[in-house]
Amino acid sequence: MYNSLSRLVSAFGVAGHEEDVRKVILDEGSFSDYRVDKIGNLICRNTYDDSAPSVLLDAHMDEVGFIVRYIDDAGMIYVNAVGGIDSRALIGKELLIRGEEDLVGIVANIPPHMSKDNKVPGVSELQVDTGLTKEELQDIVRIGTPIGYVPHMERLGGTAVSGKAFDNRVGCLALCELSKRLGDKRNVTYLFSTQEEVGTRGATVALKDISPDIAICVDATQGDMHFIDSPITRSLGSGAIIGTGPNIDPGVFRWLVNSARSSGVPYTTKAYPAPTPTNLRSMQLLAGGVVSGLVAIPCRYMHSPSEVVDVNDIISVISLLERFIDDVDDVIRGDF
Amino acid sequence: MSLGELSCLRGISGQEKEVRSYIIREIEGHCEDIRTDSIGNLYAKSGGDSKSRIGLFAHMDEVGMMVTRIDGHLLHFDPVGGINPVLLPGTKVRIGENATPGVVGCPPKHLQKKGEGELSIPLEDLRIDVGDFVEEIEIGDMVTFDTEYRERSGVAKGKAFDDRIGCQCLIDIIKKGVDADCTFVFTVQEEAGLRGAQVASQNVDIDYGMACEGTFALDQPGVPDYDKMPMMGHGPVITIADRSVISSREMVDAMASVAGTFGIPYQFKRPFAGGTDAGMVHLSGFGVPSCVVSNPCRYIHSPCAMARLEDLNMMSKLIYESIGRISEGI
Repeated sequence: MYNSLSRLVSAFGVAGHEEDVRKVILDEGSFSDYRVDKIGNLICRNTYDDSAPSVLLDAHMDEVGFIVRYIDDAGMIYVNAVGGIDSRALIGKELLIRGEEDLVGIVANIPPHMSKDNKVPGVSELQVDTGLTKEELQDIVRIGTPIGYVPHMERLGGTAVSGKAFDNRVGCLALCELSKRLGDKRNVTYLFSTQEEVGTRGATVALKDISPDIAICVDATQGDMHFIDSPITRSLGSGAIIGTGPNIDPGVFRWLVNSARSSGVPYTTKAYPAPTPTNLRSMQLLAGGVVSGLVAIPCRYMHSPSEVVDVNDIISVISLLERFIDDVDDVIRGDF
Repeated sequence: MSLGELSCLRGISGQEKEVRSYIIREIEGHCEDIRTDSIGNLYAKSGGDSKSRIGLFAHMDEVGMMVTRIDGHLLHFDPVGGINPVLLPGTKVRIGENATPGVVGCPPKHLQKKGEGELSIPLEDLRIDVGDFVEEIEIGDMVTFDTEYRERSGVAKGKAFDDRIGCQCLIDIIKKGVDADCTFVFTVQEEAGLRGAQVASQNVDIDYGMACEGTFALDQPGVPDYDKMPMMGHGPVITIADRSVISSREMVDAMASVAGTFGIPYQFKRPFAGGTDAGMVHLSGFGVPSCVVSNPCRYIHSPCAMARLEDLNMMSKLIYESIGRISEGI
C-alpha cells in the first residue's frame, strides 16, 4: 500500500499534464479494458454483466501546481498558480520544472536582514531560481511549461504519511485497490479524471458518454489542523468521510452509512450545505442527472508541498466502497 | 567534490558530532595532531615552519531548529540561528539522531479568512507534524531541513552551505598539503553567536586568522541594484568589514594581489552585513589580524541554498595561494 501510494504521488500530474499519473494507475490497478478520452481522462473497466446496475467511481488524477508566465533577463522564472495555492507554503521551497528536461528551481527568498515587513508575496510575484541564465534556460523552459512540487513521500509516526499530491492520489489508490478486489464481479467503471483543480473539467467531459446508475466521487478533504477550529474538518485516522447535502443523493448517503456500519468500517459524516468542492458538483448535473455520493479522506495542509494523510483512512474508504458495491443491487432496488 | 555528502550531514549548533566525525575521517593521514576541545571544536595541524603561523577557521554547525515541547503528533520548536519563519510552512524536516521525518504544516487556502494569506504565519503558530506520537522524539532534539543535494550545469543546490562549503574548502586544502605553519580549526556553535570560535581562538597560537565561509549572494530579485553584492558566479568574496570584524587591511590587500597574480576573480562583501568566527579570532590573545573569505551562495539560512562550483574552486585556490603569501610575512 505504501509503495503504491508513493509511486502515485511521485508522478508529475499538474492539471492538464496527467500523462505520468495515467501510466502509474494502469500499472497499479487491475483492468481488462481502458481508454483515454480527448481531455485525458482515463476510463477503465473490467468485463462485467452489463445488465447489472452500473456504478461509476471517480477520482481526479491532477494536482495543483504552476505554469511559467515569464522569464526575465537574469533567468528568473515567474509563474501563475494552477489551482488554489497559498504562497506562504512556497517561500524557499524547491519546485520541479517539467521542461524539455526536468529542472529543479528554488523559490527565491530575501535574506532576513533585507526583508522589511511580514508581507508574503502572492504566487504571481514569486521568482523561481534555477541558477541558470536566460540563455541556458532557453532550450529547456518556455512560457507555458508546467511546474510541480518536488516528489517525495515519507512515512511519519503511526500510519501517517507526508508528501505532495495526496489530493487526490489517495482517491486514485483507493480505486486501483478496488479494481483488484472487485475484479469482474461488478458493473463498475473507474474514472480517473483530469483538471479537477481548475474546475472539474475532466469529469464534465467524461459524463457526456457515461451514464451510470450511481456515481461515487472519492476525493481528499480537509483534515483537522491546529491552525483551524472548524466544524468541517475531520481528524486523521477517523475513517472514511461520507458527505451529505444537496450535491449528494440522500439514499446513497444512507446506504453508504449503512455499509460502513454493517462492515464495521470507521467513518464520520460531513455536511455540505452548498455544492461540494469536488467533481461531484458537475457530475450530479450531467448525463441527464446522476444519482451521486461522496466519500472522502481527511488530509492536513492540503495543496501545500507537504500534505499529511493516514493510510488507515484510505483502507477504510476501500473497505466501505467494497461493501457498498457488493450491496449495490439492493441499493438500486431500494426506496431511495 | 564531496560538498554533497558534507552538506547532507546533520548538525545544528551544539550537535555537530556527525559533521566532526566525517571531517576527522576525511583529514586523517593528511595532517598531524588532530584534537578536539571541551566545546567540540576540531583542530588539525599541517605544513612546516614559516615566518608567520596562520589559523584557518570554518564552522561545522548549520542553522536549524530545536524541539521545545511535544504535543501528540505536533512538536513545538524554536529556531537555532537566524531563520526567517516565512520559510517554514510546508517544509520537510528531520528530527533527532534517528532523522525522524516531519513537516511544518501550512493552513490550506480553502479555509482562510480574507487577507490572511498575505501575512507570514507567526513562529509561535507553527508546529512540526510527525503524524502520530513518536516515542523516540525528545525535547531538545535537533531539527534540520530535509533537502536533497543536487548539481547541474555547475550549479549546486542543497542545505547547510553555510558553512559546509567552508569546511569543504579547508578539507581540500589539507588534502592538497600546505608549506606554511597552519592550524585548521573546524568550530562549533557559530550560528549561536561565534561561541565555538571564542574557545578555539584561546587554544591556538597563530599570527593571522582567516575565516572561510558561505555568505549571502544578493544578486536576486527584490534586492535593489545598489545592494546586489556579492554576486553568485563572480568569484570568492573578501570581507572588508562586517558586524563582527574589520578585516586586516594588510591581509585584504595581500589576497587581492594574489588574486591578481593568479587571475582569480574576486569581489568584496557588502560592508557591515553578517558576522563570522573572525569576530572572535581577531580579539583573541593580544589581537590577531584576521579576515574572511567566503563563497557567494544564494538563499543560505533557508531550506535550500545555491552556489556555483566554479566559485568554490576559485575560493580554494585563492585561500591556498594566499596562505603562501601571508605566511611569508606581509
